[in-house]
Amino acid sequence: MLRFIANRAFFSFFVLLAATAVIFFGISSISDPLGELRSEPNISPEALQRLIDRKHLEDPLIVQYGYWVKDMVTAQFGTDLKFDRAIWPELSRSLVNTVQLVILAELFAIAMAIIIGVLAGRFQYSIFDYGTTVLSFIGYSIPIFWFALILQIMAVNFYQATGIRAVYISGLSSVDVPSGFMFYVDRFQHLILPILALSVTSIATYSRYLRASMLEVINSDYVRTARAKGLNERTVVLRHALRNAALPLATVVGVNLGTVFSGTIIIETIFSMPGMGLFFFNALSTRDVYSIMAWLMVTATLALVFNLITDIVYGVLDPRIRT
Amino acid sequence: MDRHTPLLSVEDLVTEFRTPDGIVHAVDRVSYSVWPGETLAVVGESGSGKSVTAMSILGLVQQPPGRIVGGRVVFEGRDLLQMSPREMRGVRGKSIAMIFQDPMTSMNPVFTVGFQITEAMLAHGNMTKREAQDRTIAMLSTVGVPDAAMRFHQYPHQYSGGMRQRALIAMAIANRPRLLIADEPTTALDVTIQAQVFETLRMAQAETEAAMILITHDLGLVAELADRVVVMYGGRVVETADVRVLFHAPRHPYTVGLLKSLPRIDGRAERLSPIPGAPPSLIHLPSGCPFHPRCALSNDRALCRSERPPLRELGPNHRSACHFAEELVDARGLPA
Amino acid sequence: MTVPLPSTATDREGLAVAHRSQFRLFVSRFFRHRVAMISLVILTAIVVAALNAERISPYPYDGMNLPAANLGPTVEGGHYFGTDKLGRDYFTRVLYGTRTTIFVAMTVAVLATLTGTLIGAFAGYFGGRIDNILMRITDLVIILPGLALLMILTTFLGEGTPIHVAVLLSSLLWTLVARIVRAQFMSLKRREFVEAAILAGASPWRVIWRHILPNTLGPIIVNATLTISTAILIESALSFIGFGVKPPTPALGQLISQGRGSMQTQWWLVTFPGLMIVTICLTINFIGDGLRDALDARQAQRS
Repeated sequence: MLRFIANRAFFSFFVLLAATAVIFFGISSISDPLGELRSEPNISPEALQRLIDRKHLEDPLIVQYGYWVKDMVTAQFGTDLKFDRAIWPELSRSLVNTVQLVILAELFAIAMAIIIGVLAGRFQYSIFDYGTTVLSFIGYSIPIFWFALILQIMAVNFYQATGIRAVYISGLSSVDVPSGFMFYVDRFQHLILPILALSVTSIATYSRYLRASMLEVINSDYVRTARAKGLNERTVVLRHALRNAALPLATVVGVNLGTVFSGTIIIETIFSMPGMGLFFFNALSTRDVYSIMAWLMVTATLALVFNLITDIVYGVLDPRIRT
Repeated sequence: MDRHTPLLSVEDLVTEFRTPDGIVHAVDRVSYSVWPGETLAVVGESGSGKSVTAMSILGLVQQPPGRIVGGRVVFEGRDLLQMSPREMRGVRGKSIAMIFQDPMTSMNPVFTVGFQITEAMLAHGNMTKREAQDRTIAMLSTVGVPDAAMRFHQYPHQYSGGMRQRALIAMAIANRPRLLIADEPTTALDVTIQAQVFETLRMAQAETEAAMILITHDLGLVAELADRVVVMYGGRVVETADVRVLFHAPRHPYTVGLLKSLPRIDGRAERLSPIPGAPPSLIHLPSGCPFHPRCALSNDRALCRSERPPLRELGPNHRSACHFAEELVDARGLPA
Repeated sequence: MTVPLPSTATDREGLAVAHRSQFRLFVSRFFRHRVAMISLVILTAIVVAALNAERISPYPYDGMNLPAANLGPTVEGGHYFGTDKLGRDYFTRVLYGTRTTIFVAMTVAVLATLTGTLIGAFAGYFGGRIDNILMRITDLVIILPGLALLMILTTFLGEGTPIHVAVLLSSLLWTLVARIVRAQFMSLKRREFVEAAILAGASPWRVIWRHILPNTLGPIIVNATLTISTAILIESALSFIGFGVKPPTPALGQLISQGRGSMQTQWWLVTFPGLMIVTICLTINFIGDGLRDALDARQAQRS
């Protein structure tokens, strides 16, 4: 088992290495920080030269790549171009917030998908099945940002109608919240709408996969054997069928991650949450290539880490892979 | 157990399936009995209804599209078809156990073999996990799985095909059932492995003194293992007899055809003689006797076309569903 | 987001027993096709309306009419979708925005499908090095969040015109098409009829064009519909955050973004453009599903 994990980790490392090259040369091919700096009217020649030296902007690209990688590894991505501010502190703070959102949203989506998928597969062609089918089609067709806005409208209307502040529509936490249990409740109230909005597409995708998978598995020979042994239906469905039906889900979750990250950019904007989305917006608005590249690297790493985790989960669930 | 009451008695069982093309009677008023300790072979081609009958006995028929619509299945004095799902679950895997055809797919790939066998035990008995584990390891040894203690913790994909089938046999006899149903247990295996598994089956039956319904299309297996035989065709029983009687004095043209189509080493033959025609589509069954379009005996007689022949007694323990069964005996010139 | 259909299994007797009763099977098939048909009608109506916005609506896109500002949906004056804070008729604005969306979506569909098919066909048929490189590229594209990449491209390369947005979108979405086409080609390549053609001396081009491609057309078309839907969602998201189609060219995402500030009181500003997006995508998805069903039925008949 450990060998399996080590194997995967090793492979991921190489992909990460390749990603650094792709990101650096990709960004370099479409941007021109040196040209932009030169055309800015407010920089004195000495300041300009200092910037050029600091970031080696006149060296050949390969050399710049080397410096960038060195900065990434030894100096936590170094500093941004114009103001020489360290990139990492803010990036790492945003990272935590975003990861928290993504993990919660995905766990929620998986749980919902299992419930929906199992029930729909078990009661095929029932009202529940047709209903959830229609809902998942709608889920595929809804723009996340619009759904988030609708949720906000509904939340505010609810508040105006009842005077109860059930959920919040912006921010991560309230200003005046005490620590301890209430802190977590408050955080939950802030996160619930973003999580709902973020997970809509995932729920639609995962539940369809699970349903189809369940339908296949429930007619398999080993489920028939389980029934022939005299096991009750719940055990047959939840233990024997579901374990097998859930396997392909691990792969789908991995592939879906890019979409989820894209979603967080939008959701964080709409719900004013200080996460990687905000960082990214700022980096783009100042056209700071170093911040952008750092952001891309972190995102790529996150994606690889998550994929590694889903691979491991797959290995845990399916012994055929391990041995 | 009273030797005069059958252990299991299938009476006029009817199971139908709804298909896009119409309703199909996969089991059409089938009746046969199994006595304690005996081995009953159920023989027939694909589509004859032999497997569906077995699934109906255990209530394993998929509810749509299938449905049991008539008859009784009396086991140890109780009609299984009238039992509640809960009572039925108490019977499955405990009093009646089933072994299926394809060992590759009949075991759950994500659980260890040992777990799946102990699961069968724990579902029906009161014992600790430890006890179940010990018993399972002993059982695996009994059926000939080498190094049982280690194999207990292995997964199905780590077993060979023959070993898997033997593990499945162990799973079936784990709770000492009174009746074993083996549905084509060796068909999916290599010929060389077949003999081993088949030995295991024989031993398993001897160990538990269980009766066995052996569903197969392999007449060689029937000759070796069975005490009595039921021949099915088109969802119906066409002949039942003791095994020797069936092989030496069959009284249904289909059985005669089956036996004649077997290749034999003794005697000379230039060509195989299969039964002409093809097995009937259950949706468009011929009228009257389902076999009549392919029957050499029928000679296109009106009775065969119009009336379904009843299963009638022709001798001790010998029944046949043919209007003109007596002619068969005459033609072969054998003593009745 | 392909959804595999439930499988038919054979019962022990070799009967092909569909896992639905006869009646339910019929209902299910009919329902699917009915829904697809209705969706087609609705979609066509929307497209025709959007393309003929000038003729349908008496109001121009930018026609300010302050006295009529901030009206909710109403029949008077024909402001079915209400008006915005400058008194512009919202129905008109949504219609023009829809036109842009349709234009971008169709362009992306054509560009991405053509590119993806070409590249996927090459990779699938010739395999080897080309295939490897292509697969690595698509893998990397999938790992990074598409929206972010598009935002970066727009920042440095974009101009905010629909064509530009369409090209940028295509540069990412071709990967999805390529994967499917490649898989199809790889499996079809091994089929006997292809081997026969090769043995008969057909050139690779001929084999691809006359033998493999016609069989791939089905999945390509189905996939194209999915691509359109995805393109619409991404384009509107980009326009919403200002990285897509920029004013003065109308776009649905823009309208939602502009209406966001007053959405608590003037809900129609956000709701109607969004509903339009949902409707278009929903109809496209239903049509795609119907197509896939018809395709599978044909496949089942053939084999």
